[in-house]
Amino acid sequence: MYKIILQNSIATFLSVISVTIVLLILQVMPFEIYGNLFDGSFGSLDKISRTLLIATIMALAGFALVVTFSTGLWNIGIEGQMLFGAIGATFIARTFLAEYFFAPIIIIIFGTLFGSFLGLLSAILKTRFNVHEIFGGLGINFVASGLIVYLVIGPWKREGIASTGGTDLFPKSSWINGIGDSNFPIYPIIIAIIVFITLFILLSRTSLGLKLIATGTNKDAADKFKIDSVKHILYAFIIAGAIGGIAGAIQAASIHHKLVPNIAGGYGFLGILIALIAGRNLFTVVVISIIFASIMVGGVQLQLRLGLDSSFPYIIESVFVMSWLIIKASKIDSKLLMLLVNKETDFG
Amino acid sequence: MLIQFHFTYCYKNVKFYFLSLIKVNIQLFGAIIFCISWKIFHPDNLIHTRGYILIDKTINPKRLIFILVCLTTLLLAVSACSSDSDSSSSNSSSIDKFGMILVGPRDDKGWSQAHFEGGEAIENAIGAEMIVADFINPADSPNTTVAQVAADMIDQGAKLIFATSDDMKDGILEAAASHPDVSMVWSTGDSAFKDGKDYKPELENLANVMGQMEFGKYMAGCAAASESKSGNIGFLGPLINDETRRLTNAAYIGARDCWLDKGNSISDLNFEVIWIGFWFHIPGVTLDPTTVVNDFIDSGVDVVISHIDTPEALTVTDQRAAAGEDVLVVGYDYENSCDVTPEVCIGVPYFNWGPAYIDAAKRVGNNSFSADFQWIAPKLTNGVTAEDSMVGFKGGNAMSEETRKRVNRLADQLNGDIANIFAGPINFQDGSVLASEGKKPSLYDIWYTPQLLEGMTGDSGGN
Repeated sequence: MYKIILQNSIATFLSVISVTIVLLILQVMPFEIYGNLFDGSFGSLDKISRTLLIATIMALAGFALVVTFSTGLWNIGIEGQMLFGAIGATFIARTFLAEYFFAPIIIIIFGTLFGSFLGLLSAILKTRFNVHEIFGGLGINFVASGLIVYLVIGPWKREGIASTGGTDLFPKSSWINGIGDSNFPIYPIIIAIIVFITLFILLSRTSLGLKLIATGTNKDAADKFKIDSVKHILYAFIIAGAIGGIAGAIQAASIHHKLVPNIAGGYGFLGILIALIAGRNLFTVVVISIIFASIMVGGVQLQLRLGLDSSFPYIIESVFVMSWLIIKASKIDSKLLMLLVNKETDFG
Repeated sequence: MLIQFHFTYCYKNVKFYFLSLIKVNIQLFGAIIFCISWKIFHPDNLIHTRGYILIDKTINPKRLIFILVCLTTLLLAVSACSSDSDSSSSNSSSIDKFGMILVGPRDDKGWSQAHFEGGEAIENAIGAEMIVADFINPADSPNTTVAQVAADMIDQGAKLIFATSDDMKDGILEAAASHPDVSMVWSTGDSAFKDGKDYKPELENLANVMGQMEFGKYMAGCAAASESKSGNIGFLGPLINDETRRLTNAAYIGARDCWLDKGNSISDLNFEVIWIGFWFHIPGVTLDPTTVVNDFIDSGVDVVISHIDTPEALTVTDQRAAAGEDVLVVGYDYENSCDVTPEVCIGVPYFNWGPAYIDAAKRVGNNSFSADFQWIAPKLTNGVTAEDSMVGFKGGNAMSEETRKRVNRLADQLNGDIANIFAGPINFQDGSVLASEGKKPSLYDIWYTPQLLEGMTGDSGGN
């Protein structure tokens, strides 16, 4: 456990250094940037709330990836699952149910169902029709975003307006609000914690989790041991889709309060990056999500205060991911750790 | 070399000593790099790199944490610096800062650039500092809402916020409600329109500004029809709402008047509208304007009128013209957008937000700001736009002298009254009447145009 934490700290540290170097090359002051990023993402309760809300959504997207990772598969359809979750949320928000105080709960449940439906679709494409899950997932993303555009400028458009700018706002009763007067996203955080604990127990303490991992480690061997790999791939995708759906529903009911075409906001794809970094470690997913969310939320300040281009947060993020992957691939972090700690010890 | 431009830097009263930082860290890094190279690349030691899995058992975590803590504290080798005085020479009669929220990039040669330059005009006129946020739309900035940006700007001392897109409606209404003491302007909106459908009397700090672009669009349509040989005009529309419908209608009326003025028959005029779905291209969400314009030209259109925020229509038309086709284009929004492709540009109806924005800033400065709804008419003399007019039409290289005269003459006949553009008899697509013979519609009926007009081809956005 120490080893992982220390290795990751070293990798983070080195990644930050390479980001700093890139920023220096771009002739901007790194400390000014870091200061503004921190201030913009944790400077006030309101900003902390925003950061945590975004981090929650990113973490959920990351979790959805981790689940299918355990069966050795990529859940590229995560964006589509989030979109479907948002569609499910909007579906409820447009019915009479939205007027009741329990509307947010139904919204989350429907988001989950819609998302898992799409996850199931990816899995069926994979297991029944032998479509590689990356292509299947990408295709499903396109279908989902096509459907959402159709809904926004078609049946669900604002009266007399045909714009991809979004549907009407949801009734206030169906918003997922913060705690009290603040925007602190207590409910999304609780949901994310529940998902985290469930996944943790599922993957490390249950036979289902073991079978999922067995499927991922060696599909043929799993089949020989009478573990139905097809069934477990379906399970993994349904769970992943459900988590993605929750993320989408939160995005719709808690941030935009309406359906917009890009409601997944690229968080699904960011979730893939997060999972790339975190591997199968749920805790790392949370940490990286918070880092990414603070870059995204604080990044607005770079434009407002320093007059920098609005693409700066993305530059920082991508440099960070890239150097992290390079560091991990070349095992610089573990080598460094070894050198720093135990120069004398002979591991031979 | 890289750090030569600043050795110490002050952020929020904290000074970073780069030079000392570098000195200390160079030694540390030097040692580390030496260790790495010596340990890893020394052939005798290569076996060690395979043994890293065993670190668990032999590790001394305290030692490593100590080193990491040292490194991070060194990175933050800081001290408080002499607080440089707040340079806010507070002038009672003007504002120090204002916020400008743009829907697209500030240099789009279109809508957002016109607003950005309106903001620059304020900076030049009263010396206030502009805080800009561009790309504020759900596709480009999914994690940023207009209300959040406005709150951030107010945090930084903005006394006036401009929200410059109809798409910002929900956000700016929220911002205005939660910051009642900060003046805001929502351009193109109708929240302060007393007779309007969405009048919000409780938002006493939110004003609206819009120019009567109907005149500009009338001239644009007129110039297009005047230069068109085939009578096939393609109109590249953004999304469908009241504003875009009435401006598209004005362009059609201009085209109709000039087409008839040339002595042609109205039945030979084909005015086709295609809406892309948003103010500018969002890949995967809207139609691609490049494709739409190419389709127009493929189907026999010889003049394209652009109504979107960005100048794709100009670029595509230029490419097709370079391939030998006889096609021309009319731009939109930004005074100098013809500069993108001067050879094929007939002209551009443009916004000049400067005067209205300066006026708003001055009124905030002397506490006379109120939630007005301004729908400002252009200043035309003999059909030629005056320098300080809110909206206007600027001819380009591809406009013939004959067209110039015709446009000016017909524009002059409108007498500066927007209702004259829509004077009857004039019907909607479904045959219902906007204004009967000899009548003029009310401003309300013009603002809330429900449909395209009879004679136009295109979707009205009805249910």
